[in-house]
Amino acid sequence: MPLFAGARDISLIEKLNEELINSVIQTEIYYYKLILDETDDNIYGEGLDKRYYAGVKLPSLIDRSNQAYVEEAYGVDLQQTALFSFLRKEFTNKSLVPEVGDIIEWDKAYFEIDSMVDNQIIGGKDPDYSLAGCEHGSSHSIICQCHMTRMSRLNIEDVRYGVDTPDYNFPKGI
Amino acid sequence: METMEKESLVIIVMYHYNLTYKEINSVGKQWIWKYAAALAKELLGAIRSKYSSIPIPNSEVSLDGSTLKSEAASEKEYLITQLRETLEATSRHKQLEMKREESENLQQSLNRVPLKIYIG
Repeated sequence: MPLFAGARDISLIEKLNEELINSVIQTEIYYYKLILDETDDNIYGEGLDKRYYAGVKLPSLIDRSNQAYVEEAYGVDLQQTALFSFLRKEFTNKSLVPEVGDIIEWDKAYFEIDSMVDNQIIGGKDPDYSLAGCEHGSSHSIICQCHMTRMSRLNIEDVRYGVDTPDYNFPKGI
Repeated sequence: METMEKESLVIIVMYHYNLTYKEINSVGKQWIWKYAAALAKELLGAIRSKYSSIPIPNSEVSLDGSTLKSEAASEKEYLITQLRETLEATSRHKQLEMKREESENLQQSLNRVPLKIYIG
């Protein structure tokens, strides 16, 4: 039986992580889970009109790249990638299963998950795996590689709306 | 071994004078508070030095266990020295010595007081 990475050690590591991420760093995101049953697809299998569950607030460590402005055929496009790292426990506490295609809202932008890494296993043992036993080790984190996506594709918030205000007194030339 | 000696010194002092916490003066209570804080720091240091670094999602953080332990050791050392000095300063021998010095100094001062002029 291993001396390290027992239940008490895992509890200590998780408590320290929770304190650090939830109380010290305190960067939070909204996680939107895709509703597959409500999302219709076209003849190509593309879901153009996606539907999401209400956002769930989660603490996360964020490592983002700089914004890049890329010239496309229709004009200049803004692109950004980001890496969102979560404690796995945060997902299990909320009975949430992260998947590729889900959306993360952070810093006035929406990021779509491209890939996920669930490979940070403490003590080399994941209790979910039967041969590892249930008393040692822990699968610690879920890391999501994301790219910034357009708000208009998501139907999460209304991005095009008008305001009926005839009293506006805009300066001329705008 | 040395740590045990220091801790036993505190216990001996407490038992020798048959002290209860309620009867200890504010200076003594402050000393006990500081020593308890140092012991707690040492224990926390021992806990935190089991793992020198803790994994966090996609990275790891290093813990300050060894720093806490060394700080606690120096604080305990200082407090024990302070306690020894205080006990020595309040011993019967020292108090008598202080009294002797006081009386000698008083005597010297009185020697310098001018005598009254005697007019016969």
